[in-house]
Amino acid sequence: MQRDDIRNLAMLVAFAIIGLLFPIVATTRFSQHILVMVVLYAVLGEAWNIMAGYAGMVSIGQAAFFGLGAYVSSVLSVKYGVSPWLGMLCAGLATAAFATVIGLPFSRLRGRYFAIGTIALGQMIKVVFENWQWVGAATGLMIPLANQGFASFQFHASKLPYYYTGLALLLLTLAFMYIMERSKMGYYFKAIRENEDVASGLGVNRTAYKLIAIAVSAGITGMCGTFLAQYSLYVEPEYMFNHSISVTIALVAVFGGSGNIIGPVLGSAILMPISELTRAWLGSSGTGIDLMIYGAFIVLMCVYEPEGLVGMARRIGASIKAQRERRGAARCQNS
Amino acid sequence: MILQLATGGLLLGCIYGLVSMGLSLIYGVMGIVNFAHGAFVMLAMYASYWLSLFVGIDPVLGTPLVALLMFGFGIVVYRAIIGRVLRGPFLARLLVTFGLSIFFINMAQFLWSPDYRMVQKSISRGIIMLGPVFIELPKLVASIGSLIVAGLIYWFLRKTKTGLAIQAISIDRSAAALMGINLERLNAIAFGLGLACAGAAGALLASYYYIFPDVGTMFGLVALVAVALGGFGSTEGALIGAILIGIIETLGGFYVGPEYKYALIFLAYVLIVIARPKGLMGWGAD
Repeated sequence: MQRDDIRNLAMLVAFAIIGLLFPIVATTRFSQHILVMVVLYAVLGEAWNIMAGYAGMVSIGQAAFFGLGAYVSSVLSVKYGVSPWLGMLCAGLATAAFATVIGLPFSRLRGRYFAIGTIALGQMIKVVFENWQWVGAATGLMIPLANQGFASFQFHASKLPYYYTGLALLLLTLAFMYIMERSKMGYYFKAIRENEDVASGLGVNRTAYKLIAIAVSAGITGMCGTFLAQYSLYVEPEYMFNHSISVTIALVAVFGGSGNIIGPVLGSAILMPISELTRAWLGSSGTGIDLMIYGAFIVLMCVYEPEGLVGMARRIGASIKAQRERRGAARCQNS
Repeated sequence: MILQLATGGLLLGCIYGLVSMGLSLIYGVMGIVNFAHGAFVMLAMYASYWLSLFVGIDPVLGTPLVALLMFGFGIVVYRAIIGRVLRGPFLARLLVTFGLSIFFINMAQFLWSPDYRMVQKSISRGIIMLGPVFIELPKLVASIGSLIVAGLIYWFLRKTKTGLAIQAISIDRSAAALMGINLERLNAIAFGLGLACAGAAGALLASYYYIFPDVGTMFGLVALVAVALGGFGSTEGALIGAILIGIIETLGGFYVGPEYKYALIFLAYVLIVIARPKGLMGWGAD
């Protein structure tokens, strides 16, 4: 193991410990809800990151995969009594398969055409589910209450078990991304992001790697869909396929800083509490002021911190280093 | 029947065309995909509504005024926000207008409530018969108005010095700057013009359409699809794409079912863009 690896592993462990310590301060149901949302959107942001931050395919339609995952596990659970955990696995595999099929024609599209294509995908699949009687059409499905516990993936007394489940999902995703970033695949993704024609010229099979990125991203997003379905215990097209889910996922990742591992986690840790708190304090009657502040926040961030929090941290770090070097140089001259 | 539907689609397409033209103009000049375009249409509809309620200016007659207001507003938004983001990374440029959209839609909801409103006394009302086809007068007036504004913008881009400079920027930004074109100033004008298009469309729509905070979202999305369909940066392409979409929406809504009409638009987009990855009339780099 190199020093870098040890440091990063230590960071991951420290991160897990911090994550496990949060519930000590989060004693109310509402603060636990915020924690759940933070881990959920951190995972979703990381999944987006694989596709957009690394492989350069900006998606604004992640809700398509998210909702599909939610529906797969819920239908299995409601109609066939399949365990939600197995359902989650099925949701991941089914969304990944769906994404591969959709990705085949989509991988031809670039930049904005791809981004708008994903918006279109999100809207289309929502309409399909709104009119599909077998899955409850616009009313959706209720997941029947069961005894709480890990077996049923339902927890009624406290939201904390959801949080730990989400945290485990996040740590798994982070570990996966850590390995991915250091593997050939990670470099291929970045090469495709920077210039796919050149990457292809150098022998990267761009269609195959684009499909892998889309499938992995969709699979993780689909599993998150199951997670939210079990958390809220109902699925409904307007809720699960909502365009704002797609937008929030992209925002979380970009706000934190896309194209690196830690960015989306930071982004979610800051944006989700802001979003939930403003909603709780100001938006009690659906007045819209909560989202108004949220929108203003995004605009300000794009104007003042376009590289995201990670970019900001790097800049501050660089300026401190430069200052220290300057001081060192001055001391050398003085002596 | 099909004639009736096609006419309806054409009328709808003209308004989509005007909205799309503004979007296309903004994209062509500064490379920003304006996801807030629908929100600006909504703001214009409210402006038109207040003008008719408090000042007594009919939405149709007030169109130039609303367009002018939105032009000024566009310059302000450009100076305060868009111009600063232009130098930033791709993702910031892509997301800033999302932020604007969320902000304005919810501002409308906060300030003016989510209630549906409607302009009560509009001068264009009634139905006329054109051969076998029924045409609702407000829609006809709005479409003709859209075509007039679109024509004016087209004339401005092709015949005036400022317009030619704007076109030069969309063809090659750095070469245009080297020829002495003031990019900042023209970007601001182009953004203002883009919003003026949205404004005019909003005012014309206000004469017969319900007004509520989320009303612009679908117009914005449809315009986005129309512009992508036509090819980013091609103004004519946007107009053609928009009319195509208007017809798909009306025919699809009738033959397949109204709940599927937007899904059909998006399906058409995906199919066309897969066949032609740069849209019908797009060219150049993305």
